[in-house]
Amino acid sequence: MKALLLRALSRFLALDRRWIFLLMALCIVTPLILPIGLPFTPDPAVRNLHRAIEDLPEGSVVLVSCDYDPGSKPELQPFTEALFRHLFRRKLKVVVSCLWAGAPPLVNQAIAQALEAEEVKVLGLKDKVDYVNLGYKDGRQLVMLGMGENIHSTFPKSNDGTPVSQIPLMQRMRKLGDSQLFVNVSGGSPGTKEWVETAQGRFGLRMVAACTAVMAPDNIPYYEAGQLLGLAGGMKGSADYEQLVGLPGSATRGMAAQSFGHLLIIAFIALGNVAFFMTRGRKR
Amino acid sequence: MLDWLFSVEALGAFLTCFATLMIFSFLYRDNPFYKFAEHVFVGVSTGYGIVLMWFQILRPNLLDRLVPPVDAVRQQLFRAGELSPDAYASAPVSLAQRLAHGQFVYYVFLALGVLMLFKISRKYHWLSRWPLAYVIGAFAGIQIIQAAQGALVPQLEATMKDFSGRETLVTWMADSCRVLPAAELGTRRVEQQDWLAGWMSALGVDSTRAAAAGKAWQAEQERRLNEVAGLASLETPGVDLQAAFKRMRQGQAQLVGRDGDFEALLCAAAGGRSLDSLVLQANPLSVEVAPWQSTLALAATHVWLESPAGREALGERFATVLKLPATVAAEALAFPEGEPSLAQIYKAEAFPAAAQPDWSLPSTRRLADSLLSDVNARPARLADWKSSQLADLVQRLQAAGSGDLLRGLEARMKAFDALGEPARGQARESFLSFWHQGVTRELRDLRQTWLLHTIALHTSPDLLSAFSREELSAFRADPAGWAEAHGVRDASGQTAPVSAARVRTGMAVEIISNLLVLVGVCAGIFYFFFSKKHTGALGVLSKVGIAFLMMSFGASFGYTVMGRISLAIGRFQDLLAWPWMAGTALVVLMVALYLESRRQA
Repeated sequence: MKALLLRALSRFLALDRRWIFLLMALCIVTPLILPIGLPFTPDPAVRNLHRAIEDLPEGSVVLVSCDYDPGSKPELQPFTEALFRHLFRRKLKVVVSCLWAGAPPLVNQAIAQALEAEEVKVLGLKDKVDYVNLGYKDGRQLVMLGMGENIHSTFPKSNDGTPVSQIPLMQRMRKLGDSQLFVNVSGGSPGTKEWVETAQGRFGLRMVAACTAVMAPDNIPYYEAGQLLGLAGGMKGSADYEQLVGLPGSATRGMAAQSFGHLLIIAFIALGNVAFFMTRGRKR
Repeated sequence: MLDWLFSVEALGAFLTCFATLMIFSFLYRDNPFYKFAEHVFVGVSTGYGIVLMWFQILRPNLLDRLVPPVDAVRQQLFRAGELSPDAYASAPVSLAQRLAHGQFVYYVFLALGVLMLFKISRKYHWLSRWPLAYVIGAFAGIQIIQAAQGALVPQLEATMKDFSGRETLVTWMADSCRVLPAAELGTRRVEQQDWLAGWMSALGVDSTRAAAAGKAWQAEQERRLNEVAGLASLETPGVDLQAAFKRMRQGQAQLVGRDGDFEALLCAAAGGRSLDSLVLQANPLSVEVAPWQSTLALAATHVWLESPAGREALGERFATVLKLPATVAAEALAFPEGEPSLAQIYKAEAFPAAAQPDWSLPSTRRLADSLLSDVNARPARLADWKSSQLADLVQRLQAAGSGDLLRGLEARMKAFDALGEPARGQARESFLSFWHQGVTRELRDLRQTWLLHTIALHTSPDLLSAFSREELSAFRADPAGWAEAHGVRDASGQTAPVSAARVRTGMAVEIISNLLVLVGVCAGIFYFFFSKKHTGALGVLSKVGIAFLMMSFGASFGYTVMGRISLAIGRFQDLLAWPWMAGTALVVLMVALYLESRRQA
C-alpha cells in the first residue's frame, strides 16, 4: 500500500506542468460558465474607501486619476465602472485625469456605461458640468506637482480638446486641493505610490486608492499609516466595492473562479510538499 | 445571424479570440502561432507607442512650442491688436512668423534631447551625460522632498505605536464610561458586574476582589448618575423611572411626558411616541442599546464628567479600584483636544449662568428646541417650520461653524415646505440621509460631538439609529464600532453584535499582532546586520528575522498569484463574451497546431 502511494506521489512530482495549466483553466472557466456565487465579505479597507465616498456631501468635487491600461483591465475596470456609477448617483462632481496613455479609452468606456444606468440617467448629468475627462498627460510626478499648483495650466485642454477655461466644472477645480476626495485607480507606476508620496501629504489630499493585487502589499503601509483613507486591492477589492455599492459586475462574477484557482494552487502546493518530503528518503 | 457572421464586428471578435488563444498556446509548447501573435503584439504596441509619443508628448510639449500652430499665432496677434476680428480666420501666417512666436527656451530642451542621441557615438558618447545629468538632478530634487514628506515622516509617525495595547485600553475604558451609565435602567446588572470583574481580572486583580469592586463601582455609577440626571430629585411624586422602564419593557406602561420633566426629554428623544414601542435593551455588552437610550446615557455622563467632582471620583475609581496608572485614568477621562464641552457650547450660545446644564430648566429646553426640534424629521414638526425659526437656527448653527450644512439645510427645508403632503413622505428619506451625512460629517469635523449628542437627544429614533452607527464605528473599542471596523457579520450579512468577550479577544489579538510586528521588524534588522557573525543569540535572531521575511515575501507572492489569476479570469471573460467565436478559434488553432506538429515530425 505504502509502495503504491509512494509510486503515485513520485508520479505526481513528475507531472507534466501542462496538466496543471489545463486544470487551472478548467477551474477558472467552469465557475464563469456555471456561476456558483460563493459568498465573500468586503475587506475593512474597501469599506473605508466606500465610506469616504458616502461621507461626501452632495455636489462635492471628486478627482479621479485613472492610471492603468488594458493590461490591468480585469482587476481595475470593474472598480472604475462601479466607482463612476457610485459617484454619479451620489450627485458628486467628477474630474478625471490619466497618467497612463492607455487609460482614456477605458475611462470613456466606464463613464459611458455609468451614464447608461437607469439611476444615473434620471439625473440628466451633463458632460463638462457634472463630469469631465481631462485625458492623458505625460510627465509622471511633474504632472502631479503641476496639478497641485494649477490644474488649468497642467491640463490646458480636456480629453476632447475643449479648453479647460471653458469648462464650467473646472472653475471649481483649480488645483488638487480643491477636490474633496482624490481617488487613484492604479495599475503600476506612476500610480498610488507616487501620488501618495508626491501629492497626498504635500497638498493635504483626502485620498483613497484601488490598485492591482501585485501592488497591494506595497500600498497597504500607506493605508495603515492613514495616508490612504481606503484601499481596494486587485479583483477582490473591486468585487468588494461592487458589493458595497450594490452593483455586482465582472469582478463579483470572477470571485468564484478566483477562489477555485486559489484552491487548486493551495492543493498543488500541499500535495507537492507532501510528495516531496515523503519521497525524499526514497530518492536517497 | 448570418449578417453578423460576415460583419467587421464578427471578424474583430474572431481575431480577438484567436490572438488570445495563440498567446495561450505557449502554455502547451512554443509554436509559430504563439510567435506570430507575440510579434504582432510587440509591433502594434511599438507603433502605438510611437504615435502616442509624437502626438501626446513631442508635438504638444516641444514642436508646438518651438513652432506654434497657425491658430495659436493668430490668437497672439489678435491679443496684441495686430489682427482684426474680420481678418482673424483668413489671415496668412508664415513659417517665419510661427518661428518668431515660438518659446526659445525650448531650444535648450531640444538640444538636450539631441545630445541624448550621442549615446550611440563611440567618440562623443560623453555628450549624452549632460541631458542625463539634468534629468537625474531634477528627479533627485523631486524625490528627496517626496521621500521625506510623503514616505519617511508619515511612515515613521505610523510606526510610533503604543505596543502595550494601552491606547486601545484607554479608548475602550473611555467609551465604557460613556456606555456604562445605561445601568440606570438596572436591567443588566449582572452582565455589567461580570464585565467589570473580567476587566479587573485581566488587569491582575484577584477574582473575589474584582467581583466586589465591580459591584461597588456599579452602585456608585448608578448613584452618581441618578444625582446628575436629577432622577432622584424629580418633583413629580410616584415616578420611579427604573420601575417604569421595566414595565415598559413588558408592554405594561407608557411614559407620558410633562413640561420640565426628565420624562419629557425621553419622550422627545423617542419622537414623541410612547416608549413601550421601543425595546429597551440596555446591555452595553451585547450592543443592543436602543440608540436614543444610549445617547441619552452618553449625554447624562457627559454632564456628569463636566463636573470636576464627578471626574475626580471616576478618576479615583480608575486608579484605585481598577489599578490603572494615574496617567491612563487621566487619559481615559480627558476631553478630546479641541472638543468644546457641553457647558462651553451653552456659554457660547449666551446662556445665562449655564455652567451646569440642567435639563429641567426651561431655558435649556428652549435652546435645544431652537437648535433642533424644528428641523426634526417628524412631519408634524416640519410642517410648522417658519422662516423666522429657520433664520434663528441658521444664526445659531453658524455660530457653531456649520456653514455648508446650513446652506444645504436651508435649501432642503424650503424645498420641503413647498411640497404637498404625499410628497413629504418621499422627501423624508432624502432628508434623513441629509441629516445623517451632513450633520455627522460637519459636527465630527468640528469635533463637536457634544453638540451632536444633544442633537441626537431631540431627534427621532430612525435618525438616532443612523447617528449611532456613525458614532459607534468611530470608536473602534466600542463593541458595535469594533464590529463595523472589523467586518464582523452574522449569517445574514449584517453587522452582528459583539460580546465583551469577543472584544477582549480582539484586543488581545491586536496587542499580540503589534508585538509580533515589533519582533519581526527587529529580527529582520538583525538579519541584515552583517558586521558580526550570525552565531549564538544573533544567530537565533537572524533566523527569526529570515522567517518573518519569508512570511512577508510569501504574503506578497500570494497577492501576485491572485493578480495573475485575475488576469487569466479577465481573458477568459473576454473569450466567453463570444463563446461561439472562441470555440471556433480554439478548434482552428488546435487543428493548426496538430498540422504544424505533423509537419515538424
